[in-house]
Amino acid sequence: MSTRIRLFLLVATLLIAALSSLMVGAHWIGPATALKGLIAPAPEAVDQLIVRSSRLPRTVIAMVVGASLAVAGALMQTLTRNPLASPGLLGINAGATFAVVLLVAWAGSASLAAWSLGAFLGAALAAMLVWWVAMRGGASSHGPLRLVLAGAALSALFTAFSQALLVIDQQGLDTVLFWLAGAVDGRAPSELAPLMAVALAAGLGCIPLTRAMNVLAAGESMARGLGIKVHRLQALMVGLVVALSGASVAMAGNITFVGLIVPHMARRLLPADHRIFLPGCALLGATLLIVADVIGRSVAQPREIPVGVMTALIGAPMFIALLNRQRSAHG
Amino acid sequence: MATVAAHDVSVGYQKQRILDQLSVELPEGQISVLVGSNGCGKSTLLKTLARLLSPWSGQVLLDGTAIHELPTQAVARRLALLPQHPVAPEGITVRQLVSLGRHPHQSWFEQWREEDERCVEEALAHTGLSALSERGVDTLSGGQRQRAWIALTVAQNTPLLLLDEPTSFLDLTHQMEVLELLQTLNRDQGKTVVMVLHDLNLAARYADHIVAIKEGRVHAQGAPAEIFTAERIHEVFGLSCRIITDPYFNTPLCIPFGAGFPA
Repeated sequence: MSTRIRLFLLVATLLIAALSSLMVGAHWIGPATALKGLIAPAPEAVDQLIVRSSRLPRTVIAMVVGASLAVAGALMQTLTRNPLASPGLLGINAGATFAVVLLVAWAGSASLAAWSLGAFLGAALAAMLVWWVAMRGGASSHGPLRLVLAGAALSALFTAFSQALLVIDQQGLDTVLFWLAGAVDGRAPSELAPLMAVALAAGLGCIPLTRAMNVLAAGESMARGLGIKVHRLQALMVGLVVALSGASVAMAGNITFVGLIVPHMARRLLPADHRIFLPGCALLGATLLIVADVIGRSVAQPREIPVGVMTALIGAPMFIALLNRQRSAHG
Repeated sequence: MATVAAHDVSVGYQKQRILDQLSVELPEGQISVLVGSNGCGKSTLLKTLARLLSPWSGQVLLDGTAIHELPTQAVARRLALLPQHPVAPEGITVRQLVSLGRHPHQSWFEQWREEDERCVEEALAHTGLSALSERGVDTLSGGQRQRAWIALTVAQNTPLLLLDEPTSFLDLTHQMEVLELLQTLNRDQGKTVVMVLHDLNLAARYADHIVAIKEGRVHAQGAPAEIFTAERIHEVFGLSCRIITDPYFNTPLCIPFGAGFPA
């Protein structure tokens, strides 16, 4: 199957997933009504109102967050040349969680907008701290490895701080717990518009770097020999990862496994060329998160399982299956 | 044509000095081989010549200009480097890998051109990989894989080619295959080749010029027949040996004795 057809099928799958996300929920809505609610809404039709005010926003958020996390994961894996790297390794999730816990402890219940802003700032500050610790004493050829180690250490530290605060402030725990699990519902798109703009800008910001990323994937020495300014490229890529996953965690909380597993799926389906591979990751990531959200809201009705729990439930077995297939391919 | 030279270069890692005011000029259009014991600084010299390491003092001259003052992409159009043990990205094909060599010739607005395509085809043909071009690099044998990396540097189309231990981890047949390919590139395309090798007998066979490095300095340099004497080998490697003349190729042949059998 040619690459063009595969990409087309990925787009088609995403559209089907998005449409089903408009239809599925506590109340089933047919595809015709769902589409009508989007294109030519009638003001008094309740079904159409549900589509527009509740299901469309969460679908759009799931799409943007899934795509962002997947692309951020792919960038991390290229940057560190480690297939097990994910955006969380930069301390982004731990930093965002700590910021939210701090906000709740300090200001009680804040508005969603304040939470999101706090989470984004926490993620960005944590990543900057990790970068500073890793690159102290000058950039070296072990940069990516140091980055991962510094990220792991500081993540553990932030998580410990968060836990300590939550033990002291039991009420805060209840407020934060749902956010911790990751969710794409109950958020108004207007409040999240700035974060979406950040994610979109970062996604587009990858485009001019894709050819240089292809060269970097062949190793740091090789890339420098081929005239790439490696340290500048790495810094830019870290910046993009922070913007993408920082915006994601601020919009939807901690959603794991998407950034780890989607690049592996994309590598099996698409050629190892970032000009195709990254858009493929975005499509697959968006689809995976929408599907996880649809399943999460249908299996335990009338209750909903948070999408972050669903990605882990779907992602972990998929990842183990991928590892096994990889082992048999090499053995 | 292009020349590369080191002028009074000192360089090291953290506080440890590896090269100590080393000067060397590599002859244009020839195959030069850097030899020396482990840790003597030959790989460090190669990396410094390829501007991967910045000298603490002194400078590397590419065609007479200080290499660190040239734009890195301009350097990449004149000098290609094959690092030690390169690892190919997962799932990449031979053609994709070789195409990476065209990166220095492309600019942001002027991307893949006919000339790039032609250079990739030629590089594949020169290295005997045309039939394997759509194969995944991870499905190739060790020797084929190393040829694919060399093809990348050929596609880079530079007059200078630097290689850091291009034969390590290859069996003898594949070592010969790689060295014969490099010799062909030198003879047919006039490429100046500079490489680090560990096998002295292969170095003697394929090199025009040997640079023996000891403790961060050039200990001796010249044609293999001048450099490979029992005394010199003992000075550079601390190894007792006898040198005879290869009966088939008339190049020096080193028979190591080691400590147990003093020569």
